[in-house]
Amino acid sequence: MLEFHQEDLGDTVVLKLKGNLDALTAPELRPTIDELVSSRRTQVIFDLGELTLIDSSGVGAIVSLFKRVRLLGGDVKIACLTNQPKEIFRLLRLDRAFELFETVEQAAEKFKK
Amino acid sequence: MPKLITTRGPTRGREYEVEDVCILGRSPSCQIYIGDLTVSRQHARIVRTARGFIIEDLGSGNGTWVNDSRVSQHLLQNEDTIRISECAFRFVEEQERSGEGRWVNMVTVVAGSEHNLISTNTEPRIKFFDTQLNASEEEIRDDLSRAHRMLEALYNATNATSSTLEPKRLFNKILDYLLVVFPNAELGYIMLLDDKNQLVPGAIRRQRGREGRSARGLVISQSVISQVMHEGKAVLSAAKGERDTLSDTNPYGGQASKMCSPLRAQGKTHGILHIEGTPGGRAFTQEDLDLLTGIARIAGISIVNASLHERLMKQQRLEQDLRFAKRVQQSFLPLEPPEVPGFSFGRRYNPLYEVGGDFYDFIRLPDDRIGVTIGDVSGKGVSAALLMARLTSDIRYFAMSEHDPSSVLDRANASLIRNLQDNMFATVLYLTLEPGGKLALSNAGHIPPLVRRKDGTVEQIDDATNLALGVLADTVFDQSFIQLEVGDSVLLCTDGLVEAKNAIGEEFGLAHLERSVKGASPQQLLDDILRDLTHFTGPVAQYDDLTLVSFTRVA
Repeated sequence: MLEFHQEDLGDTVVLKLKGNLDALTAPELRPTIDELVSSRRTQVIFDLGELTLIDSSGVGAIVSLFKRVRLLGGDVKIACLTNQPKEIFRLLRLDRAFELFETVEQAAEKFKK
Repeated sequence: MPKLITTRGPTRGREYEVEDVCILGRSPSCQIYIGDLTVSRQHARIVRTARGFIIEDLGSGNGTWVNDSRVSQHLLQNEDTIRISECAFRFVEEQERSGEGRWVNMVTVVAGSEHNLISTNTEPRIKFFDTQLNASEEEIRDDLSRAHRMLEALYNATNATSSTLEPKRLFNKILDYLLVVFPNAELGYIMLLDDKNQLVPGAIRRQRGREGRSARGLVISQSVISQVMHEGKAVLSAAKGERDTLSDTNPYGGQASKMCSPLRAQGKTHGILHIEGTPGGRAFTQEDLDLLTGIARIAGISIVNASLHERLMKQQRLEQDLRFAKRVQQSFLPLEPPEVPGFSFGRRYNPLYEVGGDFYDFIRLPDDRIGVTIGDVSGKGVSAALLMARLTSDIRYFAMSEHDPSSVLDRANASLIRNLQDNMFATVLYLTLEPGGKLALSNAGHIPPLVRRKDGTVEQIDDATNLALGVLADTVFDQSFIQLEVGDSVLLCTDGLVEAKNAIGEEFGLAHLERSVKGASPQQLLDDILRDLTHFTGPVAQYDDLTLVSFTRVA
């Protein structure tokens, strides 16, 4: 099960994910990702505070948005990582690609600078 | 796609497919070229609109004529005759009767109920001799001919449907057959439940010669759907007397009699079979409804059979793809561990799926070194197998030209970034072994290797772990070196091992793994781990592939 909702914080989009982001649910996120890219949103924050599980397909979905937003000259930041997703981000050393933040506000603040 | 057939003029007999926009004229750039000086260069055009195909005169000198009236704009109907100067074309709207049975107008479900509804249970009432003893000879003959008509229709329906397994063709066959049985019907359609339990259009067919009425939108009322779908009843709307709400939307006026029957099989309702009479024409009767119900019973069973067959075919195609991908993938996995002086190798490869994302490789390098790769590509199935194949060959290639493991990963990353689907990435650990025991490694997001020293101490080599491959173009890859002494062993694994879970959802984990690494030879080491793992998980099904590679310095 994956729930997600999208919220605008000025120019920044916050995508809040809840539940599991895996091979089964990652395709559900695909249209939202395509939409963000085609509307050229270049500041994206993933709020993963309530994400309980992520697998390689799930990471793939986030990486996909990351690569495409970077091509537009923007960035994707990650907020509120915890539990298993935090462990996966650590294992894959994704902190070398993504900036990680404790809170959405901190991530949003970084975009303003 | 509709067609224009030339019925008069120099290109007589020639057919043109009418696409979204199609210009008729004397200019050679026109889709329909008419080489006649009395025709304007761009004379008229046919444009697809939501309502249907419209022909527009483009300010021509001699005008555009449809069915002998001069038009500036006209919604084309099937079999309309278009005349431009001395040339004439027949407009044939073919899609209605083509094999595809494409929907021009979707069915609109309207709220509310319908007047004059007669409903019947779906057990077809075939009354053979319902006649009283004192019935006249005529009444008996009528009854007999009714029974005969019904039996014949059912027999033919069985024949018509039993030989077709392709769903679309079957729907069309059923509907065509209904239009023969009910000559007063104008059209029939099938709607079926999809995976989300929504009624979606399956096919529509119209009585031959009445295709021109396709501009009329189709409506069905919620009350009919619920009676048919939920109560499993067949319903008849005689549409006599007062106007019913449904035909108000009928621009042609008049009232159409309608019948709707559930398509049932295996105790479930799978959809509806709906037929409509000609507006103002003869209304359907109770007897017609009984007949429709009987045919719908047969149709329901064939439709379920056909969709089962289709699913099976799809599954078979998918399995064929997977078998192919598996062959591709296996051709990239080493058959046997290498025989190298000074080292002894072992490996275990258990893909959970037909085709997994795990891979490993041994590469003989110049100057007696040996390269070892283990990795895991994101995703499963065919795309994962092809990515794995690509990555394996990339690494083999770069390993030949680059000395340092970090440089090999650097080039593999650049190659992946250029060519990868953007949602794919891979974790790879690549290391080289020198005959003297020097190990160099670089790690792209993979589970770090464990080293078991001869004295039994186990350490994790985590200091050369970098970002996974295929994420960021300018990733910098670190590498590190270890000296292996005789008797030291190394274990490489994929996350299927660390993330294996037991019945209460606990992971096997690195800590557990470190305790399991005891064996002094690669084979012993792998056997110990697998035994511990099986002991830990019990009979719980695992959700990932499991790949292990181990080697020991023996001399």
